[in-house]
Amino acid sequence: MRILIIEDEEKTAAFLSKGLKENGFSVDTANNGLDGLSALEQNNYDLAILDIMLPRLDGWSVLSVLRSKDIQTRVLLLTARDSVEDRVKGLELGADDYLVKPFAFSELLARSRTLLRRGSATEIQTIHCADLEIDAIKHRVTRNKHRIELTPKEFQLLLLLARSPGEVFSRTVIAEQVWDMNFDSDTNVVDVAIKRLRTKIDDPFDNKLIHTIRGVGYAFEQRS
Amino acid sequence: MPSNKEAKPVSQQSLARKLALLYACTTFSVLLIASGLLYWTILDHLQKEHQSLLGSKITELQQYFKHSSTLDKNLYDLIDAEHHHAGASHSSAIHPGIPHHIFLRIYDEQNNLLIESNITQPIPPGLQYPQLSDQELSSIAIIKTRAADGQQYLSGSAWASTIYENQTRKVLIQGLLKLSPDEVLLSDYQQALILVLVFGVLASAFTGFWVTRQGLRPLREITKTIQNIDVQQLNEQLEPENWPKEIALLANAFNQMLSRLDQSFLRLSQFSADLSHELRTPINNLMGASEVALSRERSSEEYQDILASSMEECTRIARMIDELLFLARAEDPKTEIEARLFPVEDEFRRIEEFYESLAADQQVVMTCQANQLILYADPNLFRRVLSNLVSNALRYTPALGSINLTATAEIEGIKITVADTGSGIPENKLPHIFDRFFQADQSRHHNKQGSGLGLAIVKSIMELHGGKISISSPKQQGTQVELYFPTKAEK
Repeated sequence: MRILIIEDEEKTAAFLSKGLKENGFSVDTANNGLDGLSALEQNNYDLAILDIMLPRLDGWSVLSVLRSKDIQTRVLLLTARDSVEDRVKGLELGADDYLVKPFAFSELLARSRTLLRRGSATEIQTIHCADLEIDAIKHRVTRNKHRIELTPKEFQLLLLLARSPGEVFSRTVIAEQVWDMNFDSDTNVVDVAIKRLRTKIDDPFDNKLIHTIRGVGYAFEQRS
Repeated sequence: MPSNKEAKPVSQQSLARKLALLYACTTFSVLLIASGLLYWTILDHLQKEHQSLLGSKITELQQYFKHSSTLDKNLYDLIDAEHHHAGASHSSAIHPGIPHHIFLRIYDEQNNLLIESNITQPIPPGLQYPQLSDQELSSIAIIKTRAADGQQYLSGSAWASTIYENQTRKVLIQGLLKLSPDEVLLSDYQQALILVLVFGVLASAFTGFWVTRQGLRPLREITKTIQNIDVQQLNEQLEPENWPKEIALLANAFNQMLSRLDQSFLRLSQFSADLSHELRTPINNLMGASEVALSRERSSEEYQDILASSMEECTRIARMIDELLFLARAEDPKTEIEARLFPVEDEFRRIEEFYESLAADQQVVMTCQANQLILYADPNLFRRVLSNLVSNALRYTPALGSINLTATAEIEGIKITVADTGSGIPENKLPHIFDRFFQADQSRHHNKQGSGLGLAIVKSIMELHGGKISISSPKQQGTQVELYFPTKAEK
């Protein structure tokens, strides 16, 4: 999966590039609109992460030129401006998603994955990780052959984490994807939900699968 | 103090001068019309008097001929007499002692001149006499006529019958009276008129100016007071004692505006003090932690700790910026919400699911009663309202307590109640509960608590919906928040 980051702020470009590379993407960067546009025209990227305030050619123009040339690369807009008009304008010009600074990297990662998954819908049916087995269709979870009873939301939470092993999910992303709470809330609901999920999934076993990443969120993977 | 914009120079005429001018103009026209009317009345009256003088002279002659037919000395006396009006007393008041010469001629039936008055002045040519038919024996005809030199006269004709040698004969009497507008009288009158006009206009202009200035004196006081008011002295008040009602009303309204402004400024300065505190603390943590960390070599665990703690601070700052921007946008009157109809049940269930683990963890029971109502609102914002309220309720409700969400149909709206059995809010804190950064319990550590913006956001969302919010906290009964959403038709 190739991603192009068009961003003039060096630090932003650097941490985006680093984070995405570590998550298995191949990443290029451009630090102005014109370079970004020509790179998009010459190469076949799966996703462009496009800042709006850019030197030489702003993000709006890059996007509209791109769409007018019928290049359908998915575009995720990044901006520090989040008025409703800006959002509407971005989506009308043909952006696929819109992310407002400051954002959590895990949110950007989740959105990028969602965008890249679009079109190639191959729903995972069963997940195996160590001795844990998740049947996404029958909503059934077993560990070490023991059936584990989960509430629907607990199941959704587990599925979210387990579908991308090793990926860190922030509390905001978890609240949004599992409960549809698309705003930051200052409660520790997610922590409590994870705690309750752990008592069912991890506590009776030595091999822990759900990990806390301090300050960031939670990840699911086998670490041995 | 930032220097204010220079006051614009006052170029318009002063109100007092304008009003004085207006008074003067009005007085002038009223006086002019009134005296014009008077002048016309007097002229008319004079003419009528002349007319009756001439008429009575002719009648006198008619009487004379009825009893005598000789042209003797009596008749000459009658014709040449200087005449004063018959009803002498009031006419002499108007033109005292000025004689009127009536020129008289008498003809016989064959139009031969029998007798005429002595002429003191030549009779100008071009005068006309009223024509009489033979039948009009006793009537007197009088007309106004104009001589070639422009002088106006009254001329009269009448038949008189007399017995001469036992036969009834007719004689024609003609009379002529110069219409002399009374020069002295009229010029006196004109002078008086001019005096009245000049004094009237001056007096009314002066009075107008003075009255207006007096009336507007409170305005000058207001101006003086206002000039002295700046942000530091918003508590200054105007004192409208003994002022005219209209201006006292203005002063009162102004005082009210001042105290509202004062309130707003107090809130604003409280808000910026809070804001700088809320922003500086996490940034200070970030800077300090990084600085200390970089000052010497650390183990990777230590670095991890520091980064994680920095991340927490950053998340706090980001959330606060997000919430502050939300509040700022909500205040923008152009902000529109994406309202639609949806069952309250859906959102209640979503909130219940979101908070069920936390509630269970705290041994708090959550119940929902949506009563199958359909609400017209922006679902995302409604969710945010409920989430903020429930999270507050959970924060203050001890174990074994309960939180109840209820929707009830109201007149032209729906009422949503979020009630808890928690510790409640002290009565003196209730009025400030919707202020930004207000924390009912200031001793709590900020990390454990919300940003202090939650209820402010709830309130602004309710305002965006044209709804109302009220909060009550009777002693020992927890807290109830009531939200009122108007129905769709009302908007």
